[in-house]
Amino acid sequence: MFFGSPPEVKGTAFLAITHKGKPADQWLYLPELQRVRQITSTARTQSFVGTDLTYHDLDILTEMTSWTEDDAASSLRADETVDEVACHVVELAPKRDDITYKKIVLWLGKSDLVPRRLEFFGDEAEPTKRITQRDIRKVGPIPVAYQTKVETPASGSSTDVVVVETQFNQKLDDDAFTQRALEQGPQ
Amino acid sequence: MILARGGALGVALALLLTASGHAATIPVPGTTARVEASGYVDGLAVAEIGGPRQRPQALAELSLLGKITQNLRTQLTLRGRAGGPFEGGHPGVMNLVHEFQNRSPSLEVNEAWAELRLGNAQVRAGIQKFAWGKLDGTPPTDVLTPRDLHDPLVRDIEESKIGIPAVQLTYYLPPVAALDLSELRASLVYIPIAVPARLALVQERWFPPSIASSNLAFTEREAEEIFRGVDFTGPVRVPVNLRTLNARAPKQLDAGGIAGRLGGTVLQMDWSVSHYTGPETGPNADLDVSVRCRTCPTAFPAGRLPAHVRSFLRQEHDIIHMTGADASRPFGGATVRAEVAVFQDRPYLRISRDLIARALEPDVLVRYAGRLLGGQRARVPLQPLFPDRDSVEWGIGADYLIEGFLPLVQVNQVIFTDDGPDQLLSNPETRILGSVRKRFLQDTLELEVRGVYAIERGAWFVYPRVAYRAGDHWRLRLGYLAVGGPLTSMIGQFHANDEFVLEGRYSF
Repeated sequence: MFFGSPPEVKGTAFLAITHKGKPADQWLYLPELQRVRQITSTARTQSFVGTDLTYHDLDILTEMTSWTEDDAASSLRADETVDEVACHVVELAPKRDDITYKKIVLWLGKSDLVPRRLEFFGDEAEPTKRITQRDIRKVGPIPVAYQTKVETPASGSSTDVVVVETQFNQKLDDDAFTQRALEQGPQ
Repeated sequence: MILARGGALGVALALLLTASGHAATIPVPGTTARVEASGYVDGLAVAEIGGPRQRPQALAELSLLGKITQNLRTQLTLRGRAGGPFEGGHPGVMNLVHEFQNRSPSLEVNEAWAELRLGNAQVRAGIQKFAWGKLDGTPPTDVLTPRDLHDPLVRDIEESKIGIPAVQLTYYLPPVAALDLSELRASLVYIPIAVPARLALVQERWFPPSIASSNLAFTEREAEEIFRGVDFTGPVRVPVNLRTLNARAPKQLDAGGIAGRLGGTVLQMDWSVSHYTGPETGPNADLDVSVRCRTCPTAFPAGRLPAHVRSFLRQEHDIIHMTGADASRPFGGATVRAEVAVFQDRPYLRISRDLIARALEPDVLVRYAGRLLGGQRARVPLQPLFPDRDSVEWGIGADYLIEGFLPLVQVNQVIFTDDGPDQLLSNPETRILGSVRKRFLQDTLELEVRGVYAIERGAWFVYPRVAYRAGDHWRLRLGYLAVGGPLTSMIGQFHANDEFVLEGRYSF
């Protein structure tokens, strides 16, 4: 992931290599240091370049689709509607030590299984973080959320992610996912 | 000359104005090439608590990244600067060969390179900067690129680097799965000319007081011990006129440098080994001193020494050898970084008063006293101000995030491994570097305290500062730099230079 703007973070680049069943390896290239730095397990609780997401959240969101009952116990709750979309509601109770949330609830659209809402819980009854996805469009056969809102209810802050353009199957070289690529910047 | 100066002023001002625009990606008509423009305008003001003054400074940087084809990129980075530490400066373009440059407003070509990627090979040629090493502060192996030291403690280290002409060939090697080796890369660098660091001039705030001396003062008794058999009529005061003098580096093929680096990742550890043989990129100069006493033929027999010293701090050039290694690895929640560099023939600063004391000893004095007392200008034979020494510089540090605070502790040490004179650095010189950072308000507000304590010399500095990001473009910083320690220490010599620092930056 390369940051083109805002100017304060321009040139910053982020690389995560996820592994099934264990935390991702994450690196950050910081232009002010001109160096790539590994992100440690404790640093993953930090905000990802000022957004409401942490590095840990990014790891979970990327890896969650491959979770099994070994990673988190799952249970199906009563169906609900989110933004007029009928959803299955799935509750996950992570089992792994590296996943800091106690509970994760997903609202999956019945027709496309795209998450319309995700809530991450700590020890409190209120969610620590809430992610809402809207404007689902199909890019080829793949449904993509073009608008995502990440909220932190405790602080009242939120981050909006707006997708402008999506392309799949671009035949990216494996070298695009290396520290070298972070230093070189986007093509 | 006037035209050239006027032109430089115009370019610097144009750069300042251009840089205040917005970032843009400009397609090149008729091609797939495009140019991305970015940069910043930065204003810095210092409220001095003591020491020499420093005027407000404006700094602008304009960076143009050209993406010509999938495999060819170019980069041009221009910097304009006005005001700041310079005293009595003239408009002009910063050159790559002089250690002492007094330019304000100034223009600098900080980077101008082209890079060609061919499969796993990459060639970059032109004026470029290197970032070697992994430690915080100044990594010991990061010796290829000189720095602008007109404002050495406040300015960010990477931003103070001066681009050097070089050709860099990098080859990315395939992973070795059996050894869990990945991200392997080998780099070779050729540096055709020596580019020195840029040092503060005598009148500037950050000129080292350990070198500066406004006069030499001796009591009557001290003077009589130096000139035995003479009955002085009172204390002796010898005014010293210290100036700086540039001396261009030699242009021969062997005046340049070569470097190599091999790095990669193994078992989650990023590592590299490196070697550099080339021009010293840190401070390096010599004192050229002469003394004259026109009326000494009559005054000296009468017990007076109305002499004047003229002293030049002259740019010097030395070839150094550095062999080093660095590594970093996460251990649990901490990141540990370590680095070592073995130097041969590296110039290190001595205390100038030690050189003067040696020059006043009888066996040296006898070599120039005849001309001095005869009323002629006499060159004073001084030992080198920056003698070449063999040394090991190493350090180890770790950071760990606790409740949103990111503390860093690092130990650095310089050990001289040969026999030599006393330096401004002690032997060993052990420094503890510490910093703590914490961000608030969704990363818009950052508090940071960083400091260094040199154990043997008892010298230190601490620099707390707060940074606020206003919107997507503005960053404001307010800090206070406090420096302490004895004059005979690298850091402590600036103990009079405490200051408030206010910086505003508009990035685009």
